[in-house]
Amino acid sequence: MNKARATREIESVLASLRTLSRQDRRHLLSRNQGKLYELYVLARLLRHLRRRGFRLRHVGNDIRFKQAPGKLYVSDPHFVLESRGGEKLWLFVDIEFQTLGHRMRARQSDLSALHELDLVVLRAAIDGSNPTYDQVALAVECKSNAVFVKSIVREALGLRRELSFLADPVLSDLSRLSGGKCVCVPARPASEFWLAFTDPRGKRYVRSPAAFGIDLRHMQPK
Amino acid sequence: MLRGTTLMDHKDFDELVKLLEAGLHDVGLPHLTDTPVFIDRDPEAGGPRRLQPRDHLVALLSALERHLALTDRETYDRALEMINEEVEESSVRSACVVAPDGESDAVPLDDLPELRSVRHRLKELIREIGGEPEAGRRDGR
Repeated sequence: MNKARATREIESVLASLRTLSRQDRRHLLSRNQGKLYELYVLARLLRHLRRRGFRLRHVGNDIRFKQAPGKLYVSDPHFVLESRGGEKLWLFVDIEFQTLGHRMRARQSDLSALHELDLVVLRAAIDGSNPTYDQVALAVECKSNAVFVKSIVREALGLRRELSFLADPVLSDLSRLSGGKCVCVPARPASEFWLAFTDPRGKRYVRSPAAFGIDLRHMQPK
Repeated sequence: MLRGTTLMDHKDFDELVKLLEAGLHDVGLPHLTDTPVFIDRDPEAGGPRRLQPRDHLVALLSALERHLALTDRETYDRALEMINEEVEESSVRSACVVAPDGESDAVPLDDLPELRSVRHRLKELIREIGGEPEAGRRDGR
């Protein structure tokens, strides 16, 4: 490829974006990329859970992401997971959970008592509640940023801190329930935590977060 | 060297980076050109160093492609298809985003542009530029 051809190709791509309809341009510039990425990661997560031996059922007709995550309502669309042993788990999107720190401070509350989770598998689904950190079996943080930066890792470390204590590796709650693939986590409660990202550069940040039970997963739509 | 081709050098790639950055600003995507981020770090070799111009160009094009993937109707369709392959009774019909007040209209996620063609062209461009040896490095190293 020579410079003239490369120039033409780049200008052609940019021209395609400039000539999008006003509505399509709005999508290009909107903030909904994050929600589409959550949908894509949700699909990958469901595949992963089925392969670990869970049966999956959807409740509702659609999937509703929230601009502002909040409480869990069983009337909201969600997924029910059933293990081989008949145990049930629930998968919700965009939920705020009560942090470990909030429990440690004898439930003295300020804005730090709740943190958001993009995708969460729960051991209990109490209507109208913010689940507690110890009800979380698997939490997924989805980062749709086109460019991966280190602050994403720092954010995940903070979220992980509020889900569990660092502990000697044990079988995760999800593994214990699924009876399938064994995953060990250095956490008590033994929840699993994924950080999903699109930019392959994120794969350079895997090792240190793994020591704290953060599983960095490169998930990029083809 | 193939007839009709001229290997590009650092200066050529630099100019292409500037062309692309200007275009991204023009279409409303300046955040993709966040230059301080395009610094390579090698944990074993030591401190940061700026990306070489060709790598910088490939990084910018790749960032654009990733952004477009998350605005593409194809990604939405494929995600729903995957979900319905995994759940019993395949009942998921659509996805939307609801406002905090619960009363504003939900924003459907299926109302997205078709970007398959432009993404395909981008991927081809990334492949060709990424695999191209630079001028003065004709042995491919």
